[in-house]
Amino acid sequence: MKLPSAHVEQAAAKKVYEKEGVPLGTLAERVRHVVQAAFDGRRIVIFSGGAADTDETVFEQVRAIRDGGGFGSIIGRNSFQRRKPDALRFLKTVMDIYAGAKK
Amino acid sequence: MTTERVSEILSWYGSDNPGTLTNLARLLTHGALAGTGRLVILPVDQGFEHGPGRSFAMNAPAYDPRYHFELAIEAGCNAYAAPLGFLEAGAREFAGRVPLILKLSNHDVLLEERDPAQALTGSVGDAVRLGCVGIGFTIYPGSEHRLTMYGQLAPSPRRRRRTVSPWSCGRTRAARGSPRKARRRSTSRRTLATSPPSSAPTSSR
Repeated sequence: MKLPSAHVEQAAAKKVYEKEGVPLGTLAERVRHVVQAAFDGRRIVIFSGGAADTDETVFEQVRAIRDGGGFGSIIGRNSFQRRKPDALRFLKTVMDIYAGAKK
Repeated sequence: MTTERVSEILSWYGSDNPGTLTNLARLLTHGALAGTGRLVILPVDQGFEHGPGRSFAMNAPAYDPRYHFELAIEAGCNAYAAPLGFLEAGAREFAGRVPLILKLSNHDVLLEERDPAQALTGSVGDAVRLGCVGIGFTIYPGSEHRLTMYGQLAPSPRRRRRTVSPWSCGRTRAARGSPRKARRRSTSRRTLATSPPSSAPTSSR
């Protein structure tokens, strides 16, 4: 799914989140919540990037997915809309971040 | 490679038949992230959904469906996901080189729609024929057609030993307020939760 913003759409849900103090302040926290919501982490949840963006923006999102316990990314436009050598370098960095080989 | 982490993940899908689990294991044990429990998947449905020019003009080799197989293989992605025609155009040439996911449903953005629906553009039988490990299916929570989509997603693929990846493209009321904004949402929200849903009927075995 798309990485969640901090906006909670449903008033009824928002009330519960506030009352229970569900941490949603950082992207990694929101990823953690989504993963918990999917059978308490017992389902693979993969996040999507969206429109082509700068390298660092995407890497930052990938770190948040990794740190929040997300399982990975689908990366479409951010890979095939770059020249292939650039796309390969870019995807290698993403994979290194997930593998923990890169911070 | 099957690691402890891969075995742990497979154990969450205990109601699934061994054929489905084998396909899920292929996803988790392929590519640069094999065995880590993490996945990076190349999804390319934009040629269909946004149109070829808007999707590929900035990198013209990408008009060729075979380009995306090569990209996924060379990058070491866990899988490559695309609609029927795009997969058919390379499935034979690249057979066995990268796990494939057939995206079974598609939508386009020719109209500004508040409540997207979609066409079924492939079948689970096609996924079997092309050697795919699983199918992808978009749902649009928040669209007035969402319940139809949920119903279409539930029953069939596991009967044919395929993993199911709901692609959840949420539509908020705020987005639905203006067709323009809604359209933007529809093109930017994509999801892949690779999961044979536990709620699917057990008769699938």
